[in-house]
Amino acid sequence: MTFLEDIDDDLDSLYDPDFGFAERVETADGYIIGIFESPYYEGDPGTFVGVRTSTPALRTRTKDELAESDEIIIRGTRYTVVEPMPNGYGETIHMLRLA
Amino acid sequence: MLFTPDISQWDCDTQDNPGLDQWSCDTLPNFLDFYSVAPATTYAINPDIGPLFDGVSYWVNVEIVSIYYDNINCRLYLGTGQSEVFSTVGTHRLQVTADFSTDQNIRIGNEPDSLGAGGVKLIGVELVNIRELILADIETALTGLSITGSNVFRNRTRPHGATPALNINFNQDEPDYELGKMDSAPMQRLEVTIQAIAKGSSQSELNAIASEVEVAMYTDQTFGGKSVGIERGTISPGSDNEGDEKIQALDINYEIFYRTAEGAPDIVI
Repeated sequence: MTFLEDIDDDLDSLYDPDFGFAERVETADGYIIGIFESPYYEGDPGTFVGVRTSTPALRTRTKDELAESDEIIIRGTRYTVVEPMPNGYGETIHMLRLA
Repeated sequence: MLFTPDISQWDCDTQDNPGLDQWSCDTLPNFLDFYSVAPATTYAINPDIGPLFDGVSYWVNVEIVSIYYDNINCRLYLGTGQSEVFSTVGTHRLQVTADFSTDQNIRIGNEPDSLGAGGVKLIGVELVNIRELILADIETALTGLSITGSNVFRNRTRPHGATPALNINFNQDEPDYELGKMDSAPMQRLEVTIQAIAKGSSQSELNAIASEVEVAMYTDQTFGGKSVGIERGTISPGSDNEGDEKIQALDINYEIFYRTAEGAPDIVI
C-alpha cells in the first residue's frame, strides 16, 4: 500500500456517514459527504470597528471536490463555493459564501 | 467643566401649582428655587450649580418621576433658550443653549394644552463644548435614515452585528488662524468621518447610503448656529471578502467649520 493509499484508507473512517464526522451535503447532482464548520470571524472592511460574521467552510474528500460557483445546501442553508482548496493528500476545503 | 449638584431631592410639581404654565423659578440662574411636591415649600438648588453663562450650551438631565395626566409636553428653559419637548416618565438628557438676556429664570414649562407632570427632578447640568454638540447633532441628523435606520453609532468599540450601519468618528479638530477673526478667534476645522458599513450589499446600496448621509448633513449645515458651514471631503471604499458575505464600507469625510475664541472653547462666536 502506498502512502497516499494509506491516507485514503484512514479517511474512510473520518468520512463514514454513520460513525464519522461528516454529514450529508446536497449538491446539484445529488449529495456528497462533507465536514462543515463556520467559525466566528470579525470582518474588517477598513472601518474603526469590524463586523461580526463567520467563515463557513466545507471539507470533503478530493474525489467529491466541488467547483467554484457550485451551489450546495447544508443544514437547510444554501451556499456558493467561492474557493476550493485541495490539500494534496486526498481532501479539499471549500470556502463558502451564503448564496 | 461639569456641574453635578446634589439636587436629587428637589422636585417640581405643576399639580400643586395649578394655573401656572411655566413655574418653579427664582430670579438668578445661579441660585434657584423650585416648588416641591409639597405645596408652599420651596427648595433652593445647590448654588454650586452655577453660574450658567449666556450663549453657552448645556446638557441638562431631568427626570419625570410620575405623570398625573396624559398629554403632557414639557420643555426646559434656560432663560429663553429652550430644550426639545419631553413627555415621558424617566430621565431625559436635554440640550439647551442658555439665553439669559431677557429672562434669568430656569424653568420647566408646560406646552399649551398640557396639564402637567408629577414630580420633576432636575438632576444635573453639564457644560458641553461645541465640538461635542456638533457631533451629537450629526448623530441626531443621521439617525432614522431610510437605509441605516437607528444603526448609528459613536464611540463603538465592539464589532457591528446589524448592518447597514453608520459609524461617526471624530478625527481631529484643528484651529486655522488665517481663517479666524483677528488672532484670538481661530476658525476651527472639525474633521469627521462617517463610515457606512453593509454586509451582503451591493456597492450601489452603499452609494445610496452616502447620498442619504449627505442630504442629512446639509439639511442644516450650521447645526443650529453652531458652525459656519460644512464641506464634504473624500469618499473612499473598503471591503472584506473573507466572511460568509462580502462586507463593504465607505469612509465619508466631512469638515465642519466653527469659530471660538482662544480660552473659551464652549462659546460660539
